[in-house]
Amino acid sequence: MSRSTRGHRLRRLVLVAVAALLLVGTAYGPSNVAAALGLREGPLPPAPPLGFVPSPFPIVLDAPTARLAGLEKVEVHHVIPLSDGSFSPPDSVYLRFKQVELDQLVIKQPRPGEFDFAITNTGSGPTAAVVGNPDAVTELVAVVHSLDICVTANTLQAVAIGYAGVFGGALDNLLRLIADIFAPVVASALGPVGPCIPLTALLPALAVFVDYGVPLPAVLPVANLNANVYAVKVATAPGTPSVTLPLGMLQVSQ
Amino acid sequence: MTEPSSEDYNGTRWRRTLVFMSPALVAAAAIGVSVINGAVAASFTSQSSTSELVAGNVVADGVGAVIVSNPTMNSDGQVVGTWVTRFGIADAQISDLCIAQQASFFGQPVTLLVTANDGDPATMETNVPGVVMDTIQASGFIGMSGNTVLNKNAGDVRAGDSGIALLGQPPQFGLESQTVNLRNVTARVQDLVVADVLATPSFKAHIELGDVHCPPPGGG
Repeated sequence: MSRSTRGHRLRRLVLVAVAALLLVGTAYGPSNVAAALGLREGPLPPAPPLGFVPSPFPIVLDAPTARLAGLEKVEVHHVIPLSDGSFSPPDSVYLRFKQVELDQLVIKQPRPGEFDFAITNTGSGPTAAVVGNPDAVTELVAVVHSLDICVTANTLQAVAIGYAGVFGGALDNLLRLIADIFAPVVASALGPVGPCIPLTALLPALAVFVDYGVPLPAVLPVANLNANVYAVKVATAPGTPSVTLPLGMLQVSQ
Repeated sequence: MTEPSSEDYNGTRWRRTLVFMSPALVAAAAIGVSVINGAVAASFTSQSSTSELVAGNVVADGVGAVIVSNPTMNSDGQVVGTWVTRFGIADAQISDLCIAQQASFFGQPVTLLVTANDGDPATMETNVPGVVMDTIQASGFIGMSGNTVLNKNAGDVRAGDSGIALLGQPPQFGLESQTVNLRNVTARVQDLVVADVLATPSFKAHIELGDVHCPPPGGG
């Protein structure tokens, strides 16, 4: 056997071994981690039941700025059954978090020919609307049209490196994923809290953090929130806040 | 020269007339603000006018809210649907309550005022075991606590374990919350059905001439 043939076989052997190591290395993580990293696509885990059946008419939620605290779970393509026998759209997103503060909140349900229903809170900052509380389990199923999360690549990379032992072999791919997501905004002017990245772009990286149980920054500033919300559920102890509207207004127009 | 007394004026003597007509006025106005002793229900036809409701503080336990089309008799006698937010409350404690219902009596504006206020904002002087309220608009501090869900199918919404029938219909919007706290709230209500409000010590109902409004919430 010639030296060149032996070298070729050795290179193939190393390649197969590395591939096998990669597969083994990623197999211990949740299936959607691998999907998020682009390694493979598999069926999503079943949706946790909310415990109630929502109306098929979503409520439209708008807030120019918000602060999302304690984000614990993100699932895309989270379809839920609705009361008329239909289902929420395929691009429904499930979010589980502790609380969200919403500035200049407008919730409305326009029903042309019938009525317009609206819940608003004109306050911001200390008088912002709050859904959930620091100890609550808040769940939301929505089609997110716009939701920009304001965070820097450095912040996410620092968290990832801080939990390198948890991510193991997936760390390099995660760091690369973060770099790719932020590449388009590297040259942009940074605001006080960093560039605001659309949730859809950030989801692959966020899903990795959430699925590995690695805590994200305690509060994620959010901008340009617009979503069709199918269900909101706040589970919290009696007497603790679930929805607070300091300057609230509720209206039904004919 | 002395000022003429009211008896010297020509025309209708409204105050004297009102003394005699008050029971009828109360009955007419109470169609809009239904103060009912006994079972709390939502199945009746409302009148098209609305009432002003002001309260300093409300703590409501076992709250369900649904969007419903409320049967309403308009000025032509026809029954049409008015979309309202219907609140069902299993138990409510209220401080500084005022309800004003404007009406016209032989062309003269009059107002039925219902108040329950002991003068102390710190006390919840009104405690009612069951409320149904059809609301067009409400504003103030709105705080929900305990388990809460939004956009629940209206047909499934309950007011705690009260058994109050909200008559919510699918597929409308619904909301459930263990407790709702309202502070300095002003609302336009089409109906208010309350159990045992007459048992409230500070409950008063009287009629005033003209368009009279409740004082702003919070004593402001």
